[in-house]
Amino acid sequence: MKQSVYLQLDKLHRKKLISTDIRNLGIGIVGLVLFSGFILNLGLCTMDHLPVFSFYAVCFLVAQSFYISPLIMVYEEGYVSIFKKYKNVPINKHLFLQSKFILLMKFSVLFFLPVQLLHFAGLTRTSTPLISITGFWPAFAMAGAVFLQLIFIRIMARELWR
Amino acid sequence: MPERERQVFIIQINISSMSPLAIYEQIINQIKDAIIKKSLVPGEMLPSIRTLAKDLQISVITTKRAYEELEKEGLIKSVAGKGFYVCEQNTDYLKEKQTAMLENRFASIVLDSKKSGMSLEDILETVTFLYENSD
Amino acid sequence: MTEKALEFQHVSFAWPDFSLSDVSFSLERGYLMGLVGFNGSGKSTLFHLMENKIRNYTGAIYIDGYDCRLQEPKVKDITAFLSEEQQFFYEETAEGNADFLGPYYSSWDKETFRTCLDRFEISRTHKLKDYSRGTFIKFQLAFAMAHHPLLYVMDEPTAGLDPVFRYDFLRILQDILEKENASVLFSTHNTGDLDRIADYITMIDKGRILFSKDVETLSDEFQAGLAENEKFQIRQLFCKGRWKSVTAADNYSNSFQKKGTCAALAQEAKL
Repeated sequence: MKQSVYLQLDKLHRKKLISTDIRNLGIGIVGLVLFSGFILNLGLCTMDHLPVFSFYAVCFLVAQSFYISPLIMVYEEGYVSIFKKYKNVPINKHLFLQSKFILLMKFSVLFFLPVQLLHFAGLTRTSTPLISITGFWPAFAMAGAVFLQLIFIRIMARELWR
Repeated sequence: MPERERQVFIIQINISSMSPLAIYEQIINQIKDAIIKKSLVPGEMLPSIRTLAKDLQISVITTKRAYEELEKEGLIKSVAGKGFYVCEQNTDYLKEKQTAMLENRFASIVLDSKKSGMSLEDILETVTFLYENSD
Repeated sequence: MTEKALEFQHVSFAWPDFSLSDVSFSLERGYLMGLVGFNGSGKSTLFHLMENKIRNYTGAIYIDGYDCRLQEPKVKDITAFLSEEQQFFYEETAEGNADFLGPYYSSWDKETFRTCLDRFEISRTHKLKDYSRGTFIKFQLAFAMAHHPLLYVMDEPTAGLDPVFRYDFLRILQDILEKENASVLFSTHNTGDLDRIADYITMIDKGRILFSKDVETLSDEFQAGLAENEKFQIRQLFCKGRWKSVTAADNYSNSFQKKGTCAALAQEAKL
């Protein structure tokens, strides 16, 4: 089975597994929160204050979790790694994992871009230049969040090799 | 104890868990009887090893063994890809078997007649009478 | 020349409290093997080895020629494992499970799954967590049949099934053996099942294979060495499947009721 098939299946599963509506609502709320943050920082000219970075990181982590966790865990009297269910299924373990990483990356990039743009917009009201570390906070925050998620997924997936 | 009875094609094979004979021997005997009694005729196809096993609820190893023994004795033959068929029977062999069966029956009748006091002449008279008056 | 459905070759390992010693036996395509042994003798261990849950052992296990340790995805594609501890999505329905797990098999056929669900009278609306043990096994069988494996490996499948379905279950297995030329390995404590359907019987005790023979050879061997009353009882018990009728010889009847044929077979094997 090719990677593309794994991707297709994962996309399908994500929709079926747990109520997509709540998940999407969650992602939407995070979006709203980010937007409100933007408005606030814009008004107060505080786009370059450090807490903003943590704020981004946390929001991204939450949004990513809403998005990807149906493919990583299931709720059965407590959260259980989904990989347990696939131990006797003839999956290609690497492709199986990789497709989740790919979906996570795609989502993260799509999600962070608007935030990055708004961040730039907010920065114009401050003295910090756009092309600087501060200017790319959303990118770094997203990278950090993705990294943490990947570690988490890897840990959950150790079930496959137990 | 439940006796297992199954209708197999046109002959009926009963295997019994009570019998001292092994199951494959019971099958062999019943097929032999059917051939002698002409309820299985030459050229007729027997149920497959698996079908027989399924119907009698026994292992295919057992039915296979029964069929292989019968094949060794020349009573049936296997045709590759098709199954087991009853052979053109050696009429001498059949006759021999039938005679042996009849002899046994004669033996018990003679014994009973002797016990009830009939003499040899009486027995022969009865037999002649019955022979001439039957069709 | 076709490969054997299953082959254990000199498999051994040693744990502090349990070990397997030189386990070797095989099963050809199209036959059914019953695995018998006391609890703790190693039956489940053999299944775990086939599932590649235990990997530190010497020797090799092949399913249709594929190494269970080195070619795991291929082995899992052609093998179905049925037991109480198999993992599924308990909060999903039968069909939900089929959708999540089925497509990864190369011969997955959803129609067969649906047909089997109906035939086995399994509810489509209930979640798996609500199934009784018997229904759960039936579901596993339906799921297995839908991906057409060549080997079914079952851990005490008929325990917890009502007699009517148990009879049906065995008939379904016979159908599978015939139509798909598949093989079945199942562990059981029920000698009645073995009488009705087993072609081969393998007995394991304390991690060692006592014997692995076809039923006719076993039957002959029992018939051959008998003189005493007790051995005669054992023969009746095993060959004719009338184990409940054994009431004479108290020392044996107790062990039969507690341990079934296994005690008797173990005794015989050592003679």
